[in-house]
Amino acid sequence: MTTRTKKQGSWRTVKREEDGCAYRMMGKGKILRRDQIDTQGLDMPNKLDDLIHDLTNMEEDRMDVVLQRKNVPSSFTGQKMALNHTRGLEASLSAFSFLFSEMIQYSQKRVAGVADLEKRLSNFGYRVGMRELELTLWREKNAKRETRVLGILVFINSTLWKSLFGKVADSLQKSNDHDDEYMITDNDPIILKYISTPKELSSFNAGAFLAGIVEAVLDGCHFAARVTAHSTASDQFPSCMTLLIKFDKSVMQREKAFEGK
Amino acid sequence: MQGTPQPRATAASNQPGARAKAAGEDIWKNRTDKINAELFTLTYGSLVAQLVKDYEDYAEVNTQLDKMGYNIGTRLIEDFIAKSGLTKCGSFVETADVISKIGFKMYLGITPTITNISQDQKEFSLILEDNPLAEFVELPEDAVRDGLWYSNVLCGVLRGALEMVLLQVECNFVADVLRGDEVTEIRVRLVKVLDEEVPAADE
Repeated sequence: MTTRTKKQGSWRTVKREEDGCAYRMMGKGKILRRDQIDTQGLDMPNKLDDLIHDLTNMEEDRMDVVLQRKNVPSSFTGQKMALNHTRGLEASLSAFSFLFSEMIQYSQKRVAGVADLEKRLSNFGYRVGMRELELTLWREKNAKRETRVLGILVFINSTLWKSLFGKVADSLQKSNDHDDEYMITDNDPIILKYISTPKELSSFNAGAFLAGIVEAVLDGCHFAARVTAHSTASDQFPSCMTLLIKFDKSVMQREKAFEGK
Repeated sequence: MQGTPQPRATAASNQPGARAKAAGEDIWKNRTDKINAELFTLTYGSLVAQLVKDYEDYAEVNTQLDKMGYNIGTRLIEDFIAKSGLTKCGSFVETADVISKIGFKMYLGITPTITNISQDQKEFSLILEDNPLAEFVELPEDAVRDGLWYSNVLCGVLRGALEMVLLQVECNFVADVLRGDEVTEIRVRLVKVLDEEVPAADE
């Protein structure tokens, strides 16, 4: 038997007496068939049938998805819904900046020099980038796997930047001196808005966090590269920042092979 | 913090609660610079992951998150007062209202529900229906078992911010949907109202 316990917003929490588990459901007037529910990772798929049966019989208004059994996250959930409901939401820039500043201070206590500090910030970014890539690609309508250097750079310059900052990066350039180096410039990176670097740390750029994000995205697309952030401030754009992307040898060799074709 | 940032002459705004709500929404809508919420969420996640890696002990991670939150809170309060233009609250219950409807709204875009106000009006609970910090998050089993409070930074923020307005509080999570609880609940208890003095050094 199932008892309905609580209704919060569009959620309903349902408790099953047999196993005492709480289930969450969403009601939108359609029942999902058994085979439409992803049971991967569910520890007792056979119980799902009678759960659905219970729910259908009990509820007058019909349910569509058994969204989430508590304590058994993810694979059993309506992932599409869960992933998209944060799309387009905004958070306060102050809140982000306070958090980011705390992250920098925390890192600063644990490092010997500027290079280490940037490495740590880059690591913070790397974990963000890995996830952001997955999310962006999953939402991209005509996502395809990029195989060429220029393709992936344009993807970062436009698609990734848009999904992170709501705008395209200000420029994408190829280095004159080195074939394997490219630069992406943002004239006014929003995450650096409230950051000013003291004189004794003048070589430090908090954009290392952003460099980490880009490095993770490149890595995730099989373009191994080293990405570093550099301040390219001018009077017009005092917080202007350039990411220097240096591709790994293997990537350049692959690129050459493509060119030969 | 009797809240009248801008005079509002609608019928609904005669209620103190409604007024706070309108003020919070106004600040959020018109006077807050925004950033992609997912970037914020993922960044917080990256921080927690780093702490777990550095300390290898969930209890210590809770403490660190609380400390960082405290540091944030002591700075955030200035921004908060400047933007909201609020002055002293008449009672702790009013403080609760301001925290939820203006504070949380201004920084996270959410308005937690206030419940379980104790008889002596010195304790209340904030129920977070949505928690922007916890989107996309699943806790591994051992984190649940060993008592990680994923969003513990919020407690520190409340503690730090309130201390700066001379309210010493104890603040902790008592339930979190990430851990399989029905709701996400923060309990706040007023310890005492502090005397005006030079603030202690940062932690």
